[in-house]
Amino acid sequence: MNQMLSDEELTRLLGDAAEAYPVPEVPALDHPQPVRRKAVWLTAAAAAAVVVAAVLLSNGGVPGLSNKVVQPASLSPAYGSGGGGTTGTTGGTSGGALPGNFAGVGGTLTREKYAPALPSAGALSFGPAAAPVAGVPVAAPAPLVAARDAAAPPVATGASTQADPGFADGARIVQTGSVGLVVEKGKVSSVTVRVRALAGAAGGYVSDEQSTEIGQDPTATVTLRIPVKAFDKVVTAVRGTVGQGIGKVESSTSSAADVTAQYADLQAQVQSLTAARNRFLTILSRANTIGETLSVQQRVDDVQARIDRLEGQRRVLAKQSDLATLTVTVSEKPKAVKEASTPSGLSRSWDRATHGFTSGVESLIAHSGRALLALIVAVVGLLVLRLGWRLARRRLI
Amino acid sequence: MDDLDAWLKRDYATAYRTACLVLRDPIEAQDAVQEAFLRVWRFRDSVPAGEARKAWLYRVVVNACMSRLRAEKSRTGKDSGDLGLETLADASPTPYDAAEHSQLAGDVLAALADLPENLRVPLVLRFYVGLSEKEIAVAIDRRPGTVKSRLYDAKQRLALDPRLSAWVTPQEMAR
Repeated sequence: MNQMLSDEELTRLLGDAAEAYPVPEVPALDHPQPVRRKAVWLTAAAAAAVVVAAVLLSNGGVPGLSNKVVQPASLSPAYGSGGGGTTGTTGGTSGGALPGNFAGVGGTLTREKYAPALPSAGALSFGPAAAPVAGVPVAAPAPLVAARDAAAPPVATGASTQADPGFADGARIVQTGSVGLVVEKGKVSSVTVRVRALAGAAGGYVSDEQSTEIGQDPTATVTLRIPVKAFDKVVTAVRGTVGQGIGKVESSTSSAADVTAQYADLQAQVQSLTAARNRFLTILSRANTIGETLSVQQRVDDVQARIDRLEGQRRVLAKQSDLATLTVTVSEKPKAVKEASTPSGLSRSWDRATHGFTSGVESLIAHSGRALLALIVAVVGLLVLRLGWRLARRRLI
Repeated sequence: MDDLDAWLKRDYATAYRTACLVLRDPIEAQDAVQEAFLRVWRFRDSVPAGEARKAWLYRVVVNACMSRLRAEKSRTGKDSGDLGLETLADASPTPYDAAEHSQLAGDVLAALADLPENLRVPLVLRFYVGLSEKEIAVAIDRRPGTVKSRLYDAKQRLALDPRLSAWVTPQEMAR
């Protein structure tokens, strides 16, 4: 019989368990920064300028604008230009002074979320360590944050370190092809094994395989992912697997698409947005109120989402252009149609007789419709004639 | 506002550890509490006065935790409640590392991890935070009867857990 744990015991156990979690220090708790109304407007103005720049850049807008906007020097005029006409960028967020502990809370959240690989820069410092901005304070890292940063993956910077697929001019080619092989009976498995081995030998791998080895038509379809540079060699080798009377190549197709421009465009967009995000983080590091923090945070979230999406597309494109796709289909030769044997005289006569009988019955059935119609017409005609004859005879009488 | 500031400051540690017990991940818990406190600050005009304030705060904290659990579920495609101790131990500064010298804490956390969320949350609110059943009902948006039933189920499950029985003497057990 099990007994319940007493309430006191549960309280003690949970209290002891909770003690295992050390409560983190709240940054800037003891030194709340005074709120300056002017700084709010200046920050909002700078945020608006960076948002407009980011939108223009991400849409492939004004050429040369990126240098103007993302340079730290350009931020100073934006800060000093006053807040005229920028109310909309911070509209809807709560104003008022943010107590010190909440400033720290908001700051910690943002820094850890968006700059995990960067050294901690204190309570309200979000600037990237790789490109420090003048005026942004850098403090000693907090232990918990440092531990978390060490465990977190680095933030994508947009500067691609993807290995070149093998083209001297850095071209990105998406190469695809297919080869259809027809082999002798019982050779599907062995040829498939050889095709698989070719992928490994070329530095690629088998990404998909579907085979049916039981039944009348055993087939296998193998999809190989191989380096683009080795594509032609592998195609030749695949065609060679059916030499020496094993079978033959039934079909072969190949296509290539140059995605260099698309890839470069994605890279450029990611780099521009990353620069814009870093500017936002710098602005965020100077936020003094919850209103400022939330407003700029939203901008950072939006830009980060776009970076993630574009980075994902870039990675897919890089993967497609690094490895070509070759689909090899292996099937058995279709069985020859068995020729009908010439029948003997008696058999031929019997065949003719049964055929004639069948044809006659079919003809009878086929013509029965017309015969039935003719019979009905004849009967009706006779009845009419008979009736007419009777009427005529009465008149005559 | 100073009052609200001081109040939140005072409750930060308890709220953080509550989130830790619910989420079992100190980093996620820290983010959840930060998010919850930001929400409280944003809606500071709606914060009720008096005794109801605490239940309201933990309602926000619990909602923040549940949002993170749901996000984790949808991201990993499984219940984070199924996370094993090994998985949790992979994270950098988990309490399990710290609890190597505290077998008791480790056993309690492991037993809590085996409880489903709908039982774990009221249990933590009742026996760690010290909320009444009525306050828990407000915090998790359920009827007091439901809270009572869940607390009973949670206690019954914990009573069957061999990891906890080692830490409780028969004299300390009550019906």
